[in-house]
Amino acid sequence: MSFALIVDILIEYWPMFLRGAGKTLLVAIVGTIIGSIIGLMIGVIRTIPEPEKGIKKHLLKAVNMLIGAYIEVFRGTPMMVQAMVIYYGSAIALGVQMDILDAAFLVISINTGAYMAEIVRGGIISIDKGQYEAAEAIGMNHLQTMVNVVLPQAIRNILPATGNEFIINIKDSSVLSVIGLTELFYQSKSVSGANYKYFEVFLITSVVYLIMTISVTKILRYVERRMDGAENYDILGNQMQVETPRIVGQEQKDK
Amino acid sequence: MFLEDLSSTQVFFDRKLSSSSIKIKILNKGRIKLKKSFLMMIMATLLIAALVVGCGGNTTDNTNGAQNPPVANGDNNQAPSEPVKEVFRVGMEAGYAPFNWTQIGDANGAVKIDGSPEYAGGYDVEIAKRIAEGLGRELVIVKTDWDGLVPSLQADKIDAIIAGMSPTAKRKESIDFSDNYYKSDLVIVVKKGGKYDGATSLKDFNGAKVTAQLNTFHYTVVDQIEGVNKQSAMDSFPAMRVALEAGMIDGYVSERPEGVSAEAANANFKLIEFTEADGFQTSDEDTAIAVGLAKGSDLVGPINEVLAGISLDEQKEIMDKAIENQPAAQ
Repeated sequence: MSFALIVDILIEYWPMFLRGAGKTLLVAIVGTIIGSIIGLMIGVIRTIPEPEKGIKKHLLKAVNMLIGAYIEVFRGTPMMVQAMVIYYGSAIALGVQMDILDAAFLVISINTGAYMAEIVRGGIISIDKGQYEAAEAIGMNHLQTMVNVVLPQAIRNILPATGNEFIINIKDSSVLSVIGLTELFYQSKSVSGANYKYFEVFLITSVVYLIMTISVTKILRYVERRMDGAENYDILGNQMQVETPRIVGQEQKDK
Repeated sequence: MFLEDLSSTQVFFDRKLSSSSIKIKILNKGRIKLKKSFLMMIMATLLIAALVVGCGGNTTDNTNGAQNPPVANGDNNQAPSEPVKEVFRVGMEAGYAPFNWTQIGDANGAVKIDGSPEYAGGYDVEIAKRIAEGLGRELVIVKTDWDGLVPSLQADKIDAIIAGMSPTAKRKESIDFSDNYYKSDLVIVVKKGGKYDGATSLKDFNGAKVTAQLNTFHYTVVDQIEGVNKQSAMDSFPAMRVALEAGMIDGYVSERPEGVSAEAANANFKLIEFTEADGFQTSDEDTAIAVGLAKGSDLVGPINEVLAGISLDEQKEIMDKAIENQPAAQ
């Protein structure tokens, strides 16, 4: 292994690495966004207070059971297996020919959705009960309470966990190479399969993955800070308070 | 970040320049922040670049997709003046040199990989070109993971597997095969200067840690070595080569062309060839490779006709050329 060799590989194959990274990122972004939307919807449905009687009660129970099954199935099986079953299964059993990229979006979205559903549920539970009562007191229904009161706070709370999902998606999209998605890992396998330089190629690959994940971490941190709003006014006030006695004293002396 | 900077300035003004040390502190803080945001900008730029390139590749995916039925594909791709030519979709790993590999340009007659700006070259590609020509169809290379090849064929995502695949009895249960288009001997690739460098017979591998690729007959024949320490199968040749280089295994079973290439590309590898009596006992269906086709495919006849036109000498010639042209050899 030598540094010059790594540079040579980069010069020759950089478009393959970059295209692979692009596809990895694209799949991870789409998967995380759609997965989060699925998770939010499920979270809202799952926290509907149970009606006391009637059809609604049974309907809600049935929907909750379906959601439960969805979460169990997609959280309890590896994404690689899901990809194989969905991509090839849809063609063999149902005769539906799916585009590789569409299949990748679908697999990663529903997989992320299953995890996000639980994360969102956690976020909603974390909101104080008083908030629901207050919302109810001013006549909001469940959806209004969720959209206007609970979710804005819950989303802030689940943002770190969502960032986790995003980073996991960047890395785990590599398993989608089984259905022929030419993401970063598959591209690296191709490069090393062609030039037999395994260590060097995968060293480059790991750096590319790191750049992606660290960038995403930084960006999400920034988003979090923006969502928190300005915390500085507090600091400003505190500093003045700390200094106040002395200044006040001086002022008093001046007087 | 901007807000914080702003408020720092506010603090600074509120103090009415009362203390110069505080001022320096605040300025320093600002500079560190500037550096951080610069780093972030670089990262964001890299991210966006990757994404843009990725999206670019992705549009070709959709318009060019081999997944479309052949007729629709012809409609999408070809200029109206050209006659619509049926496509011949061939699946391969494009990562098993010298049979098939991926390269950036179209040197040495490489063919563009579907939905990707890269090209595939190698022995399989040359054979695929001849078959497509014989069938009067347009060749489309579909890059598919090894384990995805048979399912892809069954799911009608490709028309044929030309990927150095041997027509084993087990595979024949799920797919059909053409006649052979290459026949090679089994070898073991070991580490140069290692304990097994200089072995001449299978008996010399007593106690050696040997493995082979998952779902290949290479793995089954490992049992023919007496007293072998059979390792779990690995999913690709790259993985086995890494394992060998790292000393996790003493050798892996391979076919001669792959072994020759590995030896040529990496000075640490040594190819061990056997005479017929001392080597692996194999049947013809194992050491030969053939074109995989869907069960009951009507392509078997026409493809066999094309393959019959390629003599053994010609096969050897194409293979030698592929070994010579593979990226690692350059």
